[in-house]
Amino acid sequence: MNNAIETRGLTKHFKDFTLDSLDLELPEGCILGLIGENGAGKTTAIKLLLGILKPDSGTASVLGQDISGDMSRVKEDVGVVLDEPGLPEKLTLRQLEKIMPSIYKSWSREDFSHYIRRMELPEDKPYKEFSRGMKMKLGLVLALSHKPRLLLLDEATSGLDPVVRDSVTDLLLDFTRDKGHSVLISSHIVSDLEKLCDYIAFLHKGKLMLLEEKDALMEEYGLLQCSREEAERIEPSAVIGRRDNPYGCRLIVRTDALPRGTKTQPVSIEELFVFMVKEDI
Amino acid sequence: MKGLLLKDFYVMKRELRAFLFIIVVFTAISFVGENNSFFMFYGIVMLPIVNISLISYDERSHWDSFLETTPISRSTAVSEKYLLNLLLLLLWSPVVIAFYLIQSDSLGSPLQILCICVYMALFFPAVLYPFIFALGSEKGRIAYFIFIVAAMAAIAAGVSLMDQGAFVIPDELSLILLLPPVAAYLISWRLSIALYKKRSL
Repeated sequence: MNNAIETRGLTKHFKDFTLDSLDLELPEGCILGLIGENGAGKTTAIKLLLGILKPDSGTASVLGQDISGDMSRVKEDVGVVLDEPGLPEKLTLRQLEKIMPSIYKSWSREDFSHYIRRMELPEDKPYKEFSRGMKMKLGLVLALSHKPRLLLLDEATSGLDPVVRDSVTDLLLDFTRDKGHSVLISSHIVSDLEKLCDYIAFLHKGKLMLLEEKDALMEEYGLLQCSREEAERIEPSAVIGRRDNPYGCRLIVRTDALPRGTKTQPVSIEELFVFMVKEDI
Repeated sequence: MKGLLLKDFYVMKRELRAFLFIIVVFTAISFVGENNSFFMFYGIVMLPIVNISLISYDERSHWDSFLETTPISRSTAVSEKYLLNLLLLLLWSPVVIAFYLIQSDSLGSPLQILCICVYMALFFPAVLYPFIFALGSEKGRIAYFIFIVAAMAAIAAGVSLMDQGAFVIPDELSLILLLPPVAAYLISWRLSIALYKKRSL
């Protein structure tokens, strides 16, 4: 299987932040959720993949195209939604419909009309009067209407109400029914990604803490509730995170490093992320 | 390129009505009375500023960031603004020609007027635009204000010299004198592309 995205040691230094040696792989046909707190480096990673920022070291390719080369051709196949769609406020959908075919060679008027109807967006209302949810839906419609093979979504579901988030989730799941379609979605709202993703990556303070298949992750890690005495007897390398409370301990553990027969509860991606990040502080 | 031009025309239609109205009013004044060539040149000098307003508008709406995610290159984005400036001037040229035909007695030969117009139309944006593409419309605002003062001073000085009859360019020299502003505009275009490619958005 080819990788839609592949990065090796991708590094970018800023005055007060470094995205440090990022190694990512997104196999074609899959959805990768990039989870990280605000300022973790998610947007920097996406900007590097689009060639908007130049890396200080490391390599990366998007749909087989090295990001150090001319990215304009590969961008025909990439749909992007940033946390701010970036459209002129006075434009209407009818005007955008006339502008966009000159920007993307593969622009499809039929797809645009189809997605506009599906997302119930008003055609004659200026973009300025759109709600946050409508703006993000429009961003997604634009990203999908030029027949992309890869979607890069940066905090595209942040600030949306549950109904809109649900329709965005449905749209993305439909998109990935095609085996050649892949999605990289970054968010700090973990519950959205938990529903969608095949792979999960944790990014914290510019460093990749984890990249694994979601199902393997759920099998590999578990939640253990026990007394403090029991917690002390557990092999330290098995403990990913620990929270003490008046009744004992809550541990996130590597299930394969526990003694046989130890019963654990399933851990959510959100709990796993929070535990791992807090341990790192 | 066509899509970018279309987008700018839509934005101009909606956002810059007041600005374009002022240019039209000032130019209309130039048709009334005699020796009002200041107002005639006002339109030529002010039209490049429409572009600055469009760049500022693009930055405010994050259109520049949106374009980065599309196949449109930074070279194309810059080239479109330089082309738009020429198109606006082209659209404006009938107004200048009409003014010249009405007031030709008090002005120089057609070649001389063409020469002055090309200087005003190309030389100022050629100096100004690289600052805007390198620094953005906010930081480039200082260059913008210097430009406004210099432009007004140049128009006033040029008009004064013309009125005194001192600003006489031999016709045979006029065509050669067209080369520097044209060259400056082309160099400015390439420079703006190079500077914009280096800018972090």
